[in-house]
Amino acid sequence: MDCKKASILMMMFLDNTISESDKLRLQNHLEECNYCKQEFSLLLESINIIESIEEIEPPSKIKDTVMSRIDTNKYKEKSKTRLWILWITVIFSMTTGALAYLVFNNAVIVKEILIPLLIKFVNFVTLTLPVLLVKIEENFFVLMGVGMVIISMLLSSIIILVALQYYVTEKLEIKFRGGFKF
Amino acid sequence: MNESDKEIVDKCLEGNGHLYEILVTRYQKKIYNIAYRFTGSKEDALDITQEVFIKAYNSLRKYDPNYKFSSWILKITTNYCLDIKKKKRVETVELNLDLQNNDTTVSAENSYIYKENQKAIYDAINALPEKYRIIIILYHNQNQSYNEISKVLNLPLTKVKNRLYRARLMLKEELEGIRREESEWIVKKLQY
Repeated sequence: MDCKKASILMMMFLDNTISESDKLRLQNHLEECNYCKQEFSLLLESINIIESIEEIEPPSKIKDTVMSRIDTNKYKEKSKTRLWILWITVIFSMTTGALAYLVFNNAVIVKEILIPLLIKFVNFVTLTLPVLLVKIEENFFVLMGVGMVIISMLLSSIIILVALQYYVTEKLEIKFRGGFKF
Repeated sequence: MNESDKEIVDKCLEGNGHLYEILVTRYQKKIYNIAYRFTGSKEDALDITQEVFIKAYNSLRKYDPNYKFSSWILKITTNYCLDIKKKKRVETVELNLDLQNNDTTVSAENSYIYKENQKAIYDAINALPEKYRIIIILYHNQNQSYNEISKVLNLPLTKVKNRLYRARLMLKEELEGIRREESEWIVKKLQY
């Protein structure tokens, strides 16, 4: 075995990955080669010194300093707030979207079928609501305008809310365990 | 107290941030020692350890539970140490390793030689380029495996092995040089 191969085996020895047969080959080589023997002894000594460096105790204040500098409620607040905002956004978007769709595309159905039906139903129950509904029917187009204004205000506030959320919480980082990243 | 690191991380993410102190207690010694071996300053090591734990807590969502928490926090530590070194490139650090020799049976002369060799090795570790130094500290002083070092430093396994191989040879050469100087000194002393 040449010295180059012996050098590789020395490293394997230090890694504790050397086989018994290689260990024997290395041993035989070291008995014959003084240069490698000295090299191996120096290597072992260097590594022994590094491995014998004793660990020092960290200052006791580390834990207290870290705990005082972190926000222990960071994830509690964020996870709850984020989910609430998410749900509110979803519900509002769906409701206003559905309403807007109904108002814009089915105004005739709403006016001529749904509201009269509702009036007939409520007539049985109470006497006050029909009066109100009749008034709604009478002023349907005015109310529809007001409704659209409200809907557009709601939509724009939702958009602002989502945008704010996005920037404040670093690109809306909602990460569920298991790798799903919102 | 017997909860796994992953369980504690999960609980922290559910809003129980106070449990993070268990992780700090578990890993503060390791992080502090690595930072100390790397910077040679207890003051810097303290700052690094604190910053690493704070940084880790604030990035807890980025922790991938498929990996060991210890590897993850070690990765933050080594990156932080290397960043700090880049910033302080001009300054030279002295690795103060608390020279200790607990072996009371060795003679004063042997003890002196041992300490001298120890100091030579410490100086040699200090003199190693950072990329070699961090690997030799992680492998031989912190008992991290090749795989762990590869993950922590984001290096291919072959590169880690190669660097460790070279680092060991550099240290050996350093010790060899010291020995040569010692014997030359003894020969000179005998001549007079």
